[in-house]
Amino acid sequence: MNRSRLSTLFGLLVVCAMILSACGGSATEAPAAESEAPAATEAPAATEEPAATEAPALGPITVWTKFNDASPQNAQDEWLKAMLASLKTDTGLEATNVVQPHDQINAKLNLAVQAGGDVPDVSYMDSQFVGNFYQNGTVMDLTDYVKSAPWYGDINQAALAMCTGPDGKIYCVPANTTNRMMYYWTSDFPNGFPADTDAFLVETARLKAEGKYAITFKGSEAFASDVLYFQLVRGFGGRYGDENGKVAWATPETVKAVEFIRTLFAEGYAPEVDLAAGFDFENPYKDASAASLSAGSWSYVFLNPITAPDGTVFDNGAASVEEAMKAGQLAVAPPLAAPGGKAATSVNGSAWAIPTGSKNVEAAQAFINYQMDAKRNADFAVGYGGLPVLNSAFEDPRFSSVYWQAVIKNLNDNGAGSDPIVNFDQAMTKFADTVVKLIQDPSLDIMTELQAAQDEVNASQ
Amino acid sequence: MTTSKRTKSLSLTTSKDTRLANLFPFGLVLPAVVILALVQIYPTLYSLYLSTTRMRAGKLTSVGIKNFERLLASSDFFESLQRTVVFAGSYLILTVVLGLILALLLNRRSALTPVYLVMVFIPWVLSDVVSGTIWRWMFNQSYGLIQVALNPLLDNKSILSNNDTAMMVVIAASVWRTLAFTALLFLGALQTIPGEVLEAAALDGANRWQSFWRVTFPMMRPTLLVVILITSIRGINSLGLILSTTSGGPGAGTTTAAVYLYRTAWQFGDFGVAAAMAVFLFIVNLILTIFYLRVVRVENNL
Repeated sequence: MNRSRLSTLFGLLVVCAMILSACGGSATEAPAAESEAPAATEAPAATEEPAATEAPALGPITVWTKFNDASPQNAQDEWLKAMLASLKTDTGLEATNVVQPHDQINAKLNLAVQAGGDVPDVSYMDSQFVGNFYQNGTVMDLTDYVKSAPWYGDINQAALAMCTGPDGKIYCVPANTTNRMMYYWTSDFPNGFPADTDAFLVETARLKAEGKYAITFKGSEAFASDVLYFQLVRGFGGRYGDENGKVAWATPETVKAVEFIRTLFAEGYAPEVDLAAGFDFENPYKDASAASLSAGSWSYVFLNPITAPDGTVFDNGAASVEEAMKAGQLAVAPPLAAPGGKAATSVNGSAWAIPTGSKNVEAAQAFINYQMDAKRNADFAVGYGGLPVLNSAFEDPRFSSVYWQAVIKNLNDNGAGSDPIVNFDQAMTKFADTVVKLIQDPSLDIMTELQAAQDEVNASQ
Repeated sequence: MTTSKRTKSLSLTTSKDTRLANLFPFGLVLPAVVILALVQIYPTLYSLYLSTTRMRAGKLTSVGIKNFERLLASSDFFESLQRTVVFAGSYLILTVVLGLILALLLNRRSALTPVYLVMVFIPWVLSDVVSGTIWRWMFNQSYGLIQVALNPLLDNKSILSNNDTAMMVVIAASVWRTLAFTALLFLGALQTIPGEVLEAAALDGANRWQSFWRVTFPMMRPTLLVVILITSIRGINSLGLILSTTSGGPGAGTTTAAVYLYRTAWQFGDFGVAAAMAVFLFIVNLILTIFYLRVVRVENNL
């Protein structure tokens, strides 16, 4: 081969390598999710003596969570820091936490297992991902372990159902359940929070005349589909998915829910910032420019400082909401129902899972067993912003507060499980993107867009 | 030894020496090429393999070209390509034009030129994540410098909540970040233009614009083509800055092909389809490169 051709070949190879490095170099990891309002809170009380768990000679383990024990910013982080310390003291088991961004922990766990790399011994997971993890073989079947565990008789069966896969096997151990509800300023709704969307629209016109937004909520990204959108779709009688894990939202009921959402933006009852990425949607409620906020039972952890409509500032970390409630300024209510219908709140949970490939399964089980004690389960629930999963944990006096009683009532009256969609994250992202598209272009037909989105998500299963 | 045998022996030795001399430069480059092959070519080939597979119940199964079929049937993918064209096209034009203007201004030497150079370079030394976060904060509805200043004019409309304005913000952020690089390349090209050529043009009666268009610009063409090539590829593959600024939102309003690829792989866990997208983008970049290389070769031959 002559020199000119060889030069050309090498030149092409080098250029190819440069292009590939340009391609590869752009694939950076996503930035960590913007941190929520930091609040110094008290750590939940260190546990007192439950029956001491056995301390077999189990090695140190690695645990993935979305909490930062090394630099605590809020009650969730403080809970983990205290728990890891007491775990070591009580059982001798050392667990090293690796913080993962809250919106990436499930995807990263999936990736770690699929790539065959180092996986943690035990990981936090969101219960909505059971279907996805089942499909990808991400986590171990824990059925035998759970059913023979000493705490099995005390666990709430509805909570356990969140961790049950399409094949009926148990793939995680639930740790707390969360539900979604409305926070509102009592002075903005002097007759109480409206029960349904029609009654709400009466109030919205009044509030708009007063120069306020009636409601603020997460309007984009997968998270949006989990909060207000789920409540409305279910409230109007629609569903996200069917029993086979397929998406099934293209129904007249869902269309009505989306029409209501469209009205909120078209009439200026909700701020446009709700469509932006991140958690900026909370700010209008925190500064009282919005009368209500659609959020979750955990939101009180991040709603601080908050300023009531009369200018009173509540700035006491995770206790700010409780203080505002005691002052009569803030209250919570069930989600909005459809006219003549019943409210619905999605019930999901935090859970512990043992990833496929975990090297210390016994130690991982010991870690989970340590959590499944009435006091510790209550600690996690309060620290996180959810309800415990052990029936005995509900007797903890902390759940007798006004706030928690409202959360428990909401769960009992309006709880509705998530639909077991196989490609859950993709489906929720697609639904939220479709709703945003429909909000931004009022000329689009809702059913047509919902059907197209449904078909696309189902085709990728 | 006869003269002919000596000549033959000498010519054989010379021929061998020549071959070795010809191969020597390639030998020097070989280690770098081998490393690049391991860290670039192997992963690329693996991506190609991955694009023909799907994960089910923890097992990787072969599905042939089904992932490509799914991709071509996906409206999300085509919409992301449209956004990529808008983003990359705007980014390219603005970066090149503004970079050239900046270079022309910096080329007029003044006492403050070093200060201007530092100011121009600050965005370049920041990472994509830091740059994107700065721009996101500047447009925060409650406290963003630019958003709050514009609120009276915009009737409090959130800039990052609208597809069009959000796209403008990510384009502006990307141009701001890369301007220093293109300005520097153009500045280098400007400084290689002999002063005598420009003097001669002035003596011939050319005004400033004519001098630029007829003398300076043609001499900068090779640099211009390199800048266009690099900027195009960068625009198509841009990910970190878009994610930091808007996360691809509102909705999917700023979700370009690279962002969609990232979401499909790392958020949805569908690595097969994501790999298929990566192969597609690789082919697009390769076609662009070959095209530009041909244009450069034609320029050199003229």
